[in-house]
Amino acid sequence: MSASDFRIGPRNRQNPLLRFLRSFVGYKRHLTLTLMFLPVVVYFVTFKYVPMGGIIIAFKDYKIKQGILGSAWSQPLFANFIKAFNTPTFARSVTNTLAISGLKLLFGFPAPIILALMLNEVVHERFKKAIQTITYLPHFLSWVVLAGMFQQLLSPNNGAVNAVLQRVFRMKDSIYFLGDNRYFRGTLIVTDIWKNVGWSSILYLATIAGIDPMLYEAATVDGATRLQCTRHITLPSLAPTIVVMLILSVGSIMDAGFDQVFNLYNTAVYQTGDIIDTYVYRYGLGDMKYSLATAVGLFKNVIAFVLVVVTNMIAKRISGSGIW
Amino acid sequence: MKGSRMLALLLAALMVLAFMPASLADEEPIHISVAGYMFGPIDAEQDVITPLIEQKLKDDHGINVDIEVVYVEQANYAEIINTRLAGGTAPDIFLAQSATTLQSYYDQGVIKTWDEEFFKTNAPHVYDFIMAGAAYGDLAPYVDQWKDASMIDGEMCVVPSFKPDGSMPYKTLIYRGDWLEKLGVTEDQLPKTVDEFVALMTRFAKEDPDGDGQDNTYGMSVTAMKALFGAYGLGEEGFAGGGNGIFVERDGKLVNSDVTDEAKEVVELLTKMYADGLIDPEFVNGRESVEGSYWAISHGMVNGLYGASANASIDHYRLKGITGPADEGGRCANEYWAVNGEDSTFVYAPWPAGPNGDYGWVVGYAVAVSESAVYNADMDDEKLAVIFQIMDAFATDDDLYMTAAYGIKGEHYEVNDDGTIGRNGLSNEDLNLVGVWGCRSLYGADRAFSQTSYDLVFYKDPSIANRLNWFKKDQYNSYIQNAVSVTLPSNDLFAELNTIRDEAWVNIITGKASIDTWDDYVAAYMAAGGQTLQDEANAWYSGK
Repeated sequence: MSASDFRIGPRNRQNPLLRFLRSFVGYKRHLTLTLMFLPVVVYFVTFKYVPMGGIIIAFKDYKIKQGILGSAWSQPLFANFIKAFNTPTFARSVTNTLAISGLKLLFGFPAPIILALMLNEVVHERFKKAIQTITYLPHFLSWVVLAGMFQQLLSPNNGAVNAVLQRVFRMKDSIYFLGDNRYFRGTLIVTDIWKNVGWSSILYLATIAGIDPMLYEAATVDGATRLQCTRHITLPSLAPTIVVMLILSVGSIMDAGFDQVFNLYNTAVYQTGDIIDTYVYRYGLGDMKYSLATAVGLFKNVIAFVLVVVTNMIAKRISGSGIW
Repeated sequence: MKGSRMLALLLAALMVLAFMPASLADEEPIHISVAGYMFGPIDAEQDVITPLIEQKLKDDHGINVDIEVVYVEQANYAEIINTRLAGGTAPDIFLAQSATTLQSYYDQGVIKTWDEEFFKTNAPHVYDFIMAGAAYGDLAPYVDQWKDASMIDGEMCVVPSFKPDGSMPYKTLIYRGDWLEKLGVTEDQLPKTVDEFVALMTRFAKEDPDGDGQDNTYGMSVTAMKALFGAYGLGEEGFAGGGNGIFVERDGKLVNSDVTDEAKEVVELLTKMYADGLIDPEFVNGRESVEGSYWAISHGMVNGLYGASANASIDHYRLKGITGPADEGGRCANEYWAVNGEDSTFVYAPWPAGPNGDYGWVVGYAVAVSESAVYNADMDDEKLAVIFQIMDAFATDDDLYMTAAYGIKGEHYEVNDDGTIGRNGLSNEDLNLVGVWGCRSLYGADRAFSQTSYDLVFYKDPSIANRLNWFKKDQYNSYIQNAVSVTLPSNDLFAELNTIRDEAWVNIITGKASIDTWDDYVAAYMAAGGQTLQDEANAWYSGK
């Protein structure tokens, strides 16, 4: 093997092993930079990769006193999974999780993009800042506080929303948004968008701010309308960010929002609102059922991982950009 | 130069002095860390009580201990303790907050167990006090229940609390006083039967008791349903709120009250009441307080949406100078007065009786493992023996107990002429700072096992005596109890069962499902673990 094998060239680029070996030469050459990066590696290995070994709890009958390695293996090995999957409400909680997450993705994902595009068109700087601040403030309120608010606002008895529906729109009966299976998911989606739309739009606004103004100037000179500018300059420039965010969102599709659902749901809407996380919570996470909780968590993560890989593949094929 | 030599000598002398007590002490004190129920953190600088207790234990009882009070925030108590258990840094003494938690600690092997003889040997006075039925023998009927509750699989693992006010119903039925007045219902006309109760609920809903000319009131919400379950001899502890059903005896066998025919009758009655508009549709929330606020406050009743509630205990609805101190109302009572005016009234109501003459609500357990101390399995038997000797010291030495529970006389508390304790205007948090209650879990769950401590809390306090007397009146009293006084091995199945029950019942009551689906519900309930629990309950019952 001669030194020329490590030189950057089209031939070597095809060979992963050589490319891997060559990178060490690079590490040595930039020793200072490598050393600076070392703490990051240590951090990730210690706090992110080593703890992953903990997932074996899912296959054990974990007892605190005996420790992770000392606890006996489950009999059979998948006992914790079988126990979780066999309870009557588990299947429903998976369906509900996917339905709620799917709807959130469908409506909640485009919302901040649309808001960012709209804000971008606002000329009055003060007005724009005001809107931005107002829309991202709800992000800082916890769902416990918001749940109290929404229960009041959406109450069928004395809630403001029903009062408006009845007095202004002349509706006869009041709607129990949080206690009716027909409305519950919709209410979750709308309140979720309201809470997060402003915060999520910050990233898109930052990307838009980075677009070269010359592009707009050139387009304007060529006679493009504002709508055409948005369609042919802003959106294409946003595309890579959108793709990354989409992949990340798909990765969290098994998380339908525990805080939100747990604080807003009630017995009457278990049918449409009971998700995996609320199921695990009720099933006794507080009662030291670590093995069961880990099993369900692992189940969720495996699905999420597969979804991320698939989405990334599709995104790369269609748009050419992905997260790896 | 001379100055620094002097300084060096001085420092050397100080060092010798500093080591003196340690070298003079015959033995190292035993270190005991305790994380009991506290109202706030303890301040090591201001803590005068803990050193005093250590001193008194050493001088008067020959027990040489170093007590470390650990403050654990109440809101996340179980999570914090669980984390510390997993990390091997849990304190020696901590609380099992419920029977289910106790069972999981036991299953996990993280708590110490011992036999009755061991307890009797090291805490003889405590043992005798409990076996004699506590103060004045009032609790003699509950001694067996106390023994049952202290053990799992025949081994003692907790010292449960034992309290005379446990014969009071856990929750109190309350009506809005102004609505009763508007409808012309006097105190002796309050409902005494189910029919009368439903009639009053109808009047609350239909006769505009708030006088605003609008049809915007209901009779009740979720918690007053307890009155109806009680009338059929049942004790739904947590319908729509997630709690477990109790076990009742039917033909010599125990059955879960959630699947009895009587439960079906009550659900049928509730279905009719709901259809008639007597029940607030928001009852499905399972709670009457607004999310994020104090659980015991029934906002619907306080704000005049419905007129009946059984959300809280009489303690929450203390009346100034009658069932509480002259200057302090209960927390719910204060809220009620704040919203409705200082002179607004509410009424403690009798429980309506059902077809077989049953009435009432689950009595608030004379024996309770919640808030009782458990002991870290890491400690050896010698340390546990010392802990029980300390418990015994608190039971025999009133001065020691008063110091731990009330502070220093004249500084933190006074004894009033009638024998009650005055707190000198200090709040619970103030007292916690200086170390009061820090040693709480060393003497017992809430108080020492001694005549003096029981006298102070229950018998000498006129407002508590008033409360106890109140509940001696006919149909204000109650006797419904869970027939099972132990934690069943499969207790965790209740989580799923309660979901199944709540959902089935809510669907029936709100008209989404027919009452004909009842048998399907019972089948699903029994299949999901109801049968297992019932078998365990009966196995325990037949072995009694």
